[in-house]
Amino acid sequence: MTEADYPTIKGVNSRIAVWLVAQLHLWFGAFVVAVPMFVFIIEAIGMATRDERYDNMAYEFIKVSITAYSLTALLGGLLSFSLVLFYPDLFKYLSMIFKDSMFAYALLFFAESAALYIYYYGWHWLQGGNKKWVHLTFGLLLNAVGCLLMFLANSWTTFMMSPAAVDAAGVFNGNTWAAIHNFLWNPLNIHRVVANVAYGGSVVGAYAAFKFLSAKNKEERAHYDWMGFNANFIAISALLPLPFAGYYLTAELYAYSQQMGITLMGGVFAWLFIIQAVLIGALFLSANYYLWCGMGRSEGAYRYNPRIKYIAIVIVVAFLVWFTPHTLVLTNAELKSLGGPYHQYLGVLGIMPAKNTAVNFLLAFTFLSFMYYRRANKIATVSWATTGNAIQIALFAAGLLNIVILGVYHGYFTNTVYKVAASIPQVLTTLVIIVASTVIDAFMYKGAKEVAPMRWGRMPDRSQYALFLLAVSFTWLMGLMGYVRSGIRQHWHVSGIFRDSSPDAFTPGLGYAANIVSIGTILFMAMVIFVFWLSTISGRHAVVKGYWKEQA
Amino acid sequence: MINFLKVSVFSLLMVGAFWGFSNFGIPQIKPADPPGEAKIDLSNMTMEKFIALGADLFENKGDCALCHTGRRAPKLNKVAANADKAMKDPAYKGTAKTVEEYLRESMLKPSLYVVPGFGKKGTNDTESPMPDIMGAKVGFNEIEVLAAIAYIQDLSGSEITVQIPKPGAAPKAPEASKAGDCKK
Repeated sequence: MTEADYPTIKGVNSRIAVWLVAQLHLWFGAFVVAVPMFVFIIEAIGMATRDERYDNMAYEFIKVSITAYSLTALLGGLLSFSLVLFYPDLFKYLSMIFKDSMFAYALLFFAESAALYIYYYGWHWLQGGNKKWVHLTFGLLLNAVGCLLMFLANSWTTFMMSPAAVDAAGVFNGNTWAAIHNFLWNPLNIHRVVANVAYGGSVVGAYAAFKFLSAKNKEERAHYDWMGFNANFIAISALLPLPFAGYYLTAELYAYSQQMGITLMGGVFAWLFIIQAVLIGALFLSANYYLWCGMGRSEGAYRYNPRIKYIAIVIVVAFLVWFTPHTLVLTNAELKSLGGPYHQYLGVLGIMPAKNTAVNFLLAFTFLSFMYYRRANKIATVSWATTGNAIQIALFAAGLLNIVILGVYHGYFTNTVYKVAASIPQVLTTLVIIVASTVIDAFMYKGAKEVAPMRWGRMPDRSQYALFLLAVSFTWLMGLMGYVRSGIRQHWHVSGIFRDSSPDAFTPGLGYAANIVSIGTILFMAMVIFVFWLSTISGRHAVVKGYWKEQA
Repeated sequence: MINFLKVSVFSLLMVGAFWGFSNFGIPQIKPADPPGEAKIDLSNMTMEKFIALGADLFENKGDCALCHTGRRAPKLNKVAANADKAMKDPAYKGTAKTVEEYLRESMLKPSLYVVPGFGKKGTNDTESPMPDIMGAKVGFNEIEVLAAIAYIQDLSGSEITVQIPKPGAAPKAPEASKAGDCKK
């Protein structure tokens, strides 16, 4: 193929157009796939506890996603047209391989639309007794179809990275399932499911924050404070396992192609992970800050306040370690002055084991913040509360020590080849801390005494900006990681099979990518505000006297 | 309305901060342009120039230096010295008789012999992770393969046995991509 095989439209840059549309479609798609997941869980919690507040909150969440659903479909259509217009040969090639799944994808949209509309419009109709079960079943169906749609689309994306069922020259052998079930399909599926939930939580958190700031009375403020808390909880719950899903995806990427793995983690993309560290640092800091502000809702939380500053110090230090670059790009004079490409003292923090240690500390201490918040207005009444606390302290101490030992040993006392070997045991240690502490806490605080009531709505306005920061950082981060996922294919449409011969075949640099991601984020935020506004006006009724003719 | 403006300004400032850091807070490295079919002038080609061409291909078009550091793939500074030993190894499945033939084989059919410890995970060193350098992924032509062999022979201190192709020799094209051809 040559440049002439790529149609152009005057004044439109094909790649930027497709990039922006695909990214917007993905942001909205992630949101509308994620929201029904936690709406389903919240509705089920409401059914189990018979607490109507959960039902109302679940309904409000799904209401927000309804308009976003239409926008997702519109952007999906626009993406298809853009691909047909600007990349017809690539689209033809992919269509020939994935014709069956593409047709199924289109048909599944009907099923998803039907499930979503029945779920949403039938919410107040299907209430109580068996009807509620029927309603919940539609929620389950909606989630099943939503995930299936995402998995199908993921297979087309991952095929472009790790093509299967084709020979070295790209000729398809006819095995559609093998093409779908390519090497990176499942790692990306897992990563996207977890990331979508965290992302969906952050966007509805921003919605709740906006409504909180605009609340007219105490009741509204309390309602949206509670909604914001739950949204942040959802975002953090998914944010904690997200780095593990990321590790898995990256490890599989290396297993598939070392060349692709090295391109991802080294060379021009190496600095991308410093930007990623800034964004994830912003995510963790904002999520923790919101939790700490939330402790002001109950007088019972004051006893934990002195400890917060230590958690904050650990989180900031962990963030700075993660932020430390490994190799610096320096001028000759700077190199001479520094004595090499690594800083004398800070250079040791730039390697992967140090960063893995920092990330696991970030996760463990964010979980600690959440545990303090959860205990804020409670006192355990079980006879073994002291022992339980001691076990938890021992668990944290031993776990954190283990993470440090693993990081130091693998980082500084082993061969280079084994440097990443610390990551899996470190991750498992953090998971043990989180899971075991949660189990102990659940039993220890069963029937706990309430110290002081939770005063929903008693939150400073500044705390709500933490929720906005969470949503903005997440959106920008998704855009950035989308760029690198696609960028590691370099000058290939389909890695090693179908070369990109267009004038835009070059790999864009980080600054260029940051420009596009920023434009995309601003467009997305504007569209999301539009969605929020629509969901607000849908509940308004203006009574205009004298406008309508009086009926007899 | 005030809240809307405050929230919008805050969000824009955050986006601006991320954008600014990405553009001015880190070094801007321009990724290499996609490798093209460079015209090789063989009329004034000396062995020195031919080796330099091989070095350039090794570093850039082939991206060989990314892996051949001793971490993910063996260093190549002793490959010629070790070639005889490798060809006598029971695990060797090739037919090469000379160092040059062995190097060519290793580049075009890397799985014929995998240096212990550098095979694909789970294959017990029977399958190499290295692609065929004349395949679509790397895309070397015949002249480029010869230049790469000359460079590696020079790098590993071996006698350079490669003959510089005569001017006008058509470079045998790499394997063409047939993406788009599907079984009906």
